[in-house]
Amino acid sequence: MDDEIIVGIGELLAAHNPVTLSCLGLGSCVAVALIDKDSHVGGLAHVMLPDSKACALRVNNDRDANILNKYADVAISKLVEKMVKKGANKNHIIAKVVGGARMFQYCNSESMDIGRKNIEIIKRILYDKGIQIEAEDIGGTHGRSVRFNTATGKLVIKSIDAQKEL
Amino acid sequence: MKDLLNLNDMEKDALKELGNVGTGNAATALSQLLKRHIEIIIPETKFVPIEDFTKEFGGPEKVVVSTYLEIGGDLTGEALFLFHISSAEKLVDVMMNQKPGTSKIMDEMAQSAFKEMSNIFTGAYLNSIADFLKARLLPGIPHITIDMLQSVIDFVLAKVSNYSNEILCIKTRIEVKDLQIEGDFVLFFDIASMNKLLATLKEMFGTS
Repeated sequence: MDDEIIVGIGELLAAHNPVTLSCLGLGSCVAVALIDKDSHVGGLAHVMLPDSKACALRVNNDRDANILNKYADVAISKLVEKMVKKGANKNHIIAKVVGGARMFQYCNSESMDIGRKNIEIIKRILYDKGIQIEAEDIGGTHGRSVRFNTATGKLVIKSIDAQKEL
Repeated sequence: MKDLLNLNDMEKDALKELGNVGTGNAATALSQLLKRHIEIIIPETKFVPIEDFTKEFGGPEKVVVSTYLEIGGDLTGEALFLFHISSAEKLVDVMMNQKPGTSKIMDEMAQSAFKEMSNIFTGAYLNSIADFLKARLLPGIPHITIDMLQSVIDFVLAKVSNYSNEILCIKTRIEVKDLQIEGDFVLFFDIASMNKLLATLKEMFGTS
């Protein structure tokens, strides 16, 4: 097993060496895995919320700017940027998307729909950037952990009673 | 808008006092339900950074039994119960007067009992806070899920984090000592409610 690096909630990471990037316990959050299979540059974002325009926090400097990484729009743009810096070809990047569940069987309030909204916006952003979604495991009512091998581009997805590969 | 990270000690103490008020009544209600002495650890009012949140509760992939109740009325927020499976099952056994090891939390009956416990506890907790604040607080219907800790709470963290990168929660440890049952009751108020709450507490305690 390669080194495993946990990509925490609202974080993102790109790597050009073989490494396992993980998002643990995704509920409404979404793991967006990007890979350029030619250059073997991979990246993973642990997206929490759809749109940074909803952020009511003041962002005054670069350090503060990291708090916007939890939003899909900022996270995906930054991740692509980081991957390109590490040698990825923007036009060769493909995506795998996992998560966006609704954990409680209940949908009265808007807050319970965060997972669905995340997925909708992520798909739109990827489409706009011309990034094809090669595989997805989304929605439902169960949590997921994702382990992304940047060397092979494979994702191992674990829930409490099942495991599969994407 | 008040920055939650800049609460002064008085405000923090007032919030803790609020936790104490709720806990006392909830413990009594739970004791009556279980017909046992319930030892409740003093609640902690904590600011927890989003990325560290699950460390407080045993790691992101820890499987928990969790009930979720939305809080409505004058203040809005959410209540979550987080229990290990074994603790939840023991609790249900006591409630249903069964031999330890009888109930399985995957059964509908057991889940229904656990939801009922959550309902009673939250109701008692919010009632006493409501009396204290002279506010109206309405717990919603409990919903249950059994899954990884992080996956259960991330939508709550998401909801709050548009406004703050740290989460304020009022955490109460529930322990039934002689049965080794333990779990957490976690209360979140959204940012507008938290501001309202602080304003009310300020009036009551005369802080400035």
